[in-house]
Amino acid sequence: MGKRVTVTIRPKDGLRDPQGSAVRDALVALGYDGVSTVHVGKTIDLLLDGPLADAPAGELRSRVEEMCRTLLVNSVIETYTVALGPEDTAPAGSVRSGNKTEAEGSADAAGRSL
Amino acid sequence: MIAVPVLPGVNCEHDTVWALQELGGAGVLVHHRAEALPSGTQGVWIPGGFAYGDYLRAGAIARFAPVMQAISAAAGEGMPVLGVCNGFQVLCEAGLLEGALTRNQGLRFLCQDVFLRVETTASALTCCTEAGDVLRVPVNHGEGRFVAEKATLDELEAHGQVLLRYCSSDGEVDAEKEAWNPNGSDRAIAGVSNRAGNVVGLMPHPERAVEEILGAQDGRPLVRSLLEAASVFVGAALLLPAAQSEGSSLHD
Repeated sequence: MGKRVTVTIRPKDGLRDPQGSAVRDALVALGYDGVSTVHVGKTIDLLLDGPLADAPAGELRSRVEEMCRTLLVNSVIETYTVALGPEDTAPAGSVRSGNKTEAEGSADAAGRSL
Repeated sequence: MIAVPVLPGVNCEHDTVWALQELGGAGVLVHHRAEALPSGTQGVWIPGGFAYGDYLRAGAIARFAPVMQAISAAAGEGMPVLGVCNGFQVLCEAGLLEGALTRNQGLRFLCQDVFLRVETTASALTCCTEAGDVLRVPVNHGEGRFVAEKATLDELEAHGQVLLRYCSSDGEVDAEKEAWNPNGSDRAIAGVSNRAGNVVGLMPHPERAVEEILGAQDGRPLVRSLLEAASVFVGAALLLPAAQSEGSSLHD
């Protein structure tokens, strides 16, 4: 049986988001006056099988967060959450990616959740 | 000799080699799967384009190309490494430069000339310029807005790592003025270096401003700077293994 993990990536708080602003302006122009802010992010679905799919939730989460730090997320501009299956929506966070700061690890992630 | 890595989807590699030749240097295209830089390489120029289609984020996948591992190692040895446009994005994603390049402010893909003010000459991009020089060089990007945490920006400024800022034709800088800083970069930053000054990146395209027939020649001192920095680099050049074979279809 495969397993689905969903990574949701958002622009970091405080970062100007011209794309989000343009979408908000378009919605307001269409008459949706109550839309005050829009942020455009992305969703990455990982369908897993093999040992990774069978790994305990804690280990799987830590592996996916490693993927986020290594490739999926740029912590200079983005934050993310990791959801294991439909029912698990515990937040991950804003971990610096790249070679330099990997040692900071997921403790920092937990402290800077969305 | 300057190595010009051809990551799949770049499109400025031939202009880059041309510009290097215009300034009396030599550029050699290097396959993205090469695990070592050609022997005799004294500098690297990562050209513009859309490496790996800009999929996920511009530069995000490119940084894992085998040739990028060789370039990272060479950068660590002090070899001059320049990234232009997409090459700048790759260097930021690779962690060789600070900050990130994000979607332009102002709803536009920008394809126009900009003015750049030289902030410091202590780098492989600006060593043949004078501080305060104003250069007219074209940009061509949708994601060129340089951003970083405030603390990072302060650090970059404190250590002279801000090389170029977008400015007016007479060298005035105002990050809030769209006419001068059209992509909305933080503090109007157009080009930065690492702490050592050997890894440098900028969004504008100096290779497109090296001949009068191209409409501008202000890219010449920037290209000359890279060649000058490369000419004095001896560091690890002799230690690098021999060149990989170069196929005709470098993008494959």
